[in-house]
Amino acid sequence: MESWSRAFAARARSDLAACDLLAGTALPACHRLHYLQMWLEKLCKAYLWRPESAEKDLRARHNVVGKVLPQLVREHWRRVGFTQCPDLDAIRRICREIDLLHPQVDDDGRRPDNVEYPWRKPDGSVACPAGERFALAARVQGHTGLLLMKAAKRPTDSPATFTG
Amino acid sequence: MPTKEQVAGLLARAHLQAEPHIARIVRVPGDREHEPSDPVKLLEVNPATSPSGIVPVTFSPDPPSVPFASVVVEVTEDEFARLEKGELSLPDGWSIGPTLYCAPGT
Repeated sequence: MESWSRAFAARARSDLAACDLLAGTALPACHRLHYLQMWLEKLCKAYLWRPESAEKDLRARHNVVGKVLPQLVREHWRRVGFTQCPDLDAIRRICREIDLLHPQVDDDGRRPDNVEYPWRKPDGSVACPAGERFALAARVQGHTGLLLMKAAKRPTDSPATFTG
Repeated sequence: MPTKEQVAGLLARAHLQAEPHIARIVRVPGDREHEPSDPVKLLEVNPATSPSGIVPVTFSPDPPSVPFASVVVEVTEDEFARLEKGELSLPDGWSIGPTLYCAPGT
């Protein structure tokens, strides 16, 4: 029987494949970022300690990348023997921005921008994700973003999940 | 083979090296601590983490230096204070154990 942890890890691998596929297309950045957010959320959930009572919470919860992914990156760096760790605070800031891509994570209304649904801008106009430029799209291709992506792909490709 | 106590110390030092601003690291013994299959558990007070409650993250063993599974629970300073007051709780059977590191002035 598939454990929840392994099932989340398998879905994370599939989301990563979709994300990579979209990166090679001319489609708007929101689509790739959508799969980026889904990939990393599922990856993080594969590593959560999960008592039986938490199953519902695990499915409904979205705000996990900023909390969990920096810990996965830190452990990956420890295992590969980094003696001079790159800036983990910068990694944490990007992870927080990834959480904010989900429409249900909006910092109490301060960040309605997301990669799925239209939102109203401060000037009253309505924004469509497919027509927006997302600064995060460039940040994940910068030095810190690439370090994050590299560190996240390793546990996605060979997840060290537990069998709870 | 290293003991759980030694592994906890090794992980705590590695985490401090990566994030020197961590304010406190304590062990979290469980009621099955004597069993090798029970993970080494650390609670870390990290000002850089988000206030998301108790979110334990699991890691597989990494032998030979880390022959046990491990769990890290990151909390903010406010969340740690709430844990000490009993307003937040750890998973069943877990408790706040000995302090492995405490930043000066904390």
